[in-house]
Amino acid sequence: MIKEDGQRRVLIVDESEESREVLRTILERRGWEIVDTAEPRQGLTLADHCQPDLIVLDLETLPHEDGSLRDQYDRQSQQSSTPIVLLGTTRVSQQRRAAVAKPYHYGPLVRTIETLLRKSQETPST
Amino acid sequence: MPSLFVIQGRDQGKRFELREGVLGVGRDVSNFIRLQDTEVSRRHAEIRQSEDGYQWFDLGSSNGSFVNSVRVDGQPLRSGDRVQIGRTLMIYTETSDEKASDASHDVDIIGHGDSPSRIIRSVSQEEGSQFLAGLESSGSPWLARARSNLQIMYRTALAVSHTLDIDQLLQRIMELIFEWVEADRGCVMLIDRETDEFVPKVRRNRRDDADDRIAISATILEYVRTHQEGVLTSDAREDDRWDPGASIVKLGVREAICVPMQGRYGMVGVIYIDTFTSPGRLLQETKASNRFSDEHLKLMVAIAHQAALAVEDTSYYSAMLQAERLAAIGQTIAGLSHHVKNILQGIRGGSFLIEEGLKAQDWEVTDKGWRIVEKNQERISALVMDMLTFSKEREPEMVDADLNDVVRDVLELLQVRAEQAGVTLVDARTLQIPLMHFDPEGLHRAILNVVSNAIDACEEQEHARVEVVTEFLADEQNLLRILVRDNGAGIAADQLPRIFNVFVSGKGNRGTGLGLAVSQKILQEHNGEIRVESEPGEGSQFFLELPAVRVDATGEIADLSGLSEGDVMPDSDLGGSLG
Repeated sequence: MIKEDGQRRVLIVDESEESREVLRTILERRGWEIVDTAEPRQGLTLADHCQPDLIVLDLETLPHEDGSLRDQYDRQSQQSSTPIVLLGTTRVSQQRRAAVAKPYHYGPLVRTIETLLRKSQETPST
Repeated sequence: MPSLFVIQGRDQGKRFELREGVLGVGRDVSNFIRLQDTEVSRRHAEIRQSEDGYQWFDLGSSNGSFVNSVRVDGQPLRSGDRVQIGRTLMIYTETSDEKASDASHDVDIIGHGDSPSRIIRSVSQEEGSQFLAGLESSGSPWLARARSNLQIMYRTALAVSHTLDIDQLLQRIMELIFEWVEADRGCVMLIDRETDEFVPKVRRNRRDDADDRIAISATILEYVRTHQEGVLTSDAREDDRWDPGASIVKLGVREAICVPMQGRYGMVGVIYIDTFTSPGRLLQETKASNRFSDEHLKLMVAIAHQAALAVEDTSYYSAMLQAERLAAIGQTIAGLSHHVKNILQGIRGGSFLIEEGLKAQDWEVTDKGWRIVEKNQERISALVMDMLTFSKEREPEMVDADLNDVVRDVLELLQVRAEQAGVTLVDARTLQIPLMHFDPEGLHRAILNVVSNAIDACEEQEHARVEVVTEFLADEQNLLRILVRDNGAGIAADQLPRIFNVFVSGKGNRGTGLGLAVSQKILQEHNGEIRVESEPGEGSQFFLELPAVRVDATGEIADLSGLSEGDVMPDSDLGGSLG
């Protein structure tokens, strides 16, 4: 599916309203459109509908006992070749992926997001 | 799951849950059970699982393996076995779930209506200790002595069961011994597990003037320790067990009893008593006094056994306590650091926005960042206040205050937050509550925590509302009550018993898990309580109740009801329900 409006979008899934607000402010100032939610399930629907160019997912927002949501995000990101930034972990296994441990600094996080976006532009998905 | 629990030694308090296969025991890191005991070999033994349980195999260690004090090479382990290697003593236990459930099949507790039993007499714990005191020792001196001995044993058993403080307990036992036998001096010595030496714990001298140190013969101690039996020496000079040059003969001791404190797992110490005559007078006296008898010796052995069991129980208990404490500290640190981490994250976000706004001269962004920093400053402040309240540092300051003023302050403080969350805060205070004696600052914190939880709980509801009621129940209940009612999500029944526990938060990352625990602590400091009723989907009601205490005209603090703990309420119909 090709995006109709051509707008570059970032989806933020984080239960902390404060974190979403900070990231939204920063990224909007850099010219990105932001879609955000505190609800991980709603996040999956949004990822489907809004076709984000990148997803920022806070892992602490996912329910502890339920690994299936994490898997669904993995699948979503692979199928649509959407890069994903995982907050709250150090482990990262695949391409188009970055991990940022908590508590993080926003400077490096923003640079990570921009690098991933640039890479996915250079190797556009089919 | 079968396990080995270390009750003595450097690893005291550790529990090893046995897994399948071959498990190594020793000092080396490769062992499943790794012990820091220098008298344990690097690869000391193995535990192997067989069809009927676990077996212990010594791997030719230098100091050997002992199961129930017997040296073994290979030995199946049974629940309750004591395994000693080096200075480490472990207890092997198997979980006995099956046996427990079997027993429950065999025992029925019959309901009140079906039971034909009738209580005809009851005896309190205290009365039990008197069970021989009332009897006349009619004639027979033997019977009188036997009764008195039995009573000594009973009192020893009571002393043992009443305290977990070893020093206090040993002191008490020494007093009991002195009441019953004419000893001049006595002492209890425990074996130090680290040094393996006797350490005096309690000493007692019948004569007050005696500041002289008790010199105890190493000869006797050695004998008792080696033979693990009690000794009675009638007159050390004539006793052929002692060589005339031995220390016991030189000390002026006429008679002595020394008994081992033999417990389940070995000897923990000795109890020693003697009669003493100064060396000068000893030469002049020719007749032995014979104050100690065989019977005294036997009873001392029995008393020492009781004391030893108590000493062992206490060290077992403190080992478990230590393990639990470590776990609790770990949990505390994890809970706190998680919360501090979230606050730090917020501050970093806020300062990043401030920086960005300053650079771009965009005051809107700077302002947004500033608000976030301030909010997190508040969170730290609240966290620190909760931590201080929860720790013992803060003493409640009881003064005369108006409960309604305290509640009004809380409502004012939370008004903005409630508005932001779309929650209507309803002020339903009862008019005119007399001045009462309580800690307004503490109560403020307690109410604040409950009300802010209520706001969070109904944040996403339609027509969300939190109602705060104050009441003074001047009837026989004599209570001050603050009722906080919300129409939020409610609390699931299985969560209810846990909500007052420290670091249990129903708010995920937002909560510290301290709020309700702090409220509960404050109410308890006021001899009050906090209760909750909740219906999932309907909302929750929190009752904060404390006894109404006020200063009367004479300036005396009066509990209005005049009731104290244990009093029976007059004019109540409770009496009828007991029959």
